Amino acid sequence: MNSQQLSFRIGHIGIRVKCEDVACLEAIHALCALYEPSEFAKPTLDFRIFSDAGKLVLICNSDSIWKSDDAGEIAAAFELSLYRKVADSWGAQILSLHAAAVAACDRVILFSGASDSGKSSMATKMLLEGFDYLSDEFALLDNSGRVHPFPRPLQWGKQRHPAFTHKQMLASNLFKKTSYSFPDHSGKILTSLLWLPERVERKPLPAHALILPQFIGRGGKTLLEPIRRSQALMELAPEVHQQFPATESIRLLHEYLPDDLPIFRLRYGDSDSAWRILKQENLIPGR
Amino acid sequence: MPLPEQPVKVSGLEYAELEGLDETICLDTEDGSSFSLNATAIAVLDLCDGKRSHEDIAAIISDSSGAGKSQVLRDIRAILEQFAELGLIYSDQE
Repeated sequence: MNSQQLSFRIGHIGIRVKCEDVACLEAIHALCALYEPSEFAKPTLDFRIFSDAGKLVLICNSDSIWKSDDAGEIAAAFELSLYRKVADSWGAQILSLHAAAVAACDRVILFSGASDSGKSSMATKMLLEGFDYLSDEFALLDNSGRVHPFPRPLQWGKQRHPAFTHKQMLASNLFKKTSYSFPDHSGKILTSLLWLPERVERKPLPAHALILPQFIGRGGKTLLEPIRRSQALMELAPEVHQQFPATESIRLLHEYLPDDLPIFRLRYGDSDSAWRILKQENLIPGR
Repeated sequence: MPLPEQPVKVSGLEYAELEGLDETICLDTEDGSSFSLNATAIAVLDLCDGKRSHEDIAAIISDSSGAGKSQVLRDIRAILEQFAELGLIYSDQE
């Protein structure tokens, strides 16, 4: 079996994946399709997937991570391990915030908040309006106020997105759809849909606005209101991926988010009205 | 709950001072709640040691700020009432 290799970067982290299994490689290609190809003599994270005694083995930098006879399970373990190890490798250069990040005119809008607050729906809406994609989950902030891309595929967890149909997504010609399958803990095969935006931003860009979305259910009245920086810092501290004490997360957010960054709470019932109100309030760069 | 005569600050509070903002974020590590306080409120909270009365606290704040003692005392009581509502102070007297 021939070994195949992928080499790419996420922020300043160099990553190489060598894989001997064809089915596993296909899934890993899909999971890593949006990252910036880059060669490293000595990558920070060096993943290898190979066969040993009839099982596939996943290791990273010589540490054993997972063994299985199922290629999908190895791909799923790789994905989780990739995110965890990348987050562990940032050091002090990057603060990783749980946020979707999209850009227009070289300016980034961040949507940050807890799971199910509507970040990915708003990011998808912005992408359908022609924005460039940086991330749906990891906004990488540096201390000069820039956001670095971490363009993992958009994953909705379910076959259907609550706000957008497959037809709508595909008709836009702004996304490709792919998938990979893996067994859950009971052995049931799950299929994860991956949406790959066509327009991916590669360079770090300055933050333009920070939105704290709150999906209030269909029919709810859309409201956009500025919020105090200290209030936002308190709410966002649990959304920092690195494991800092809460006071340290607050201090770092204050340091890494530009002092003059507009911060708003967006309560919305549908993404179209949310888009309109963001435009009305001049929060859409260049429009 | 009546306002404690000699209030005590609860344990487990941590502060995050934010450069350039006139606020300090206060975290209650017991329940995970957080709130922002201005510099005067933080000073008052730190003076709640279970020994000082409202008048003692007001005198210290009045001396450092130069504001009139009676007005400061009214303000201190209002701040302490908010602290009591937030569960930031208690009385350790029977």
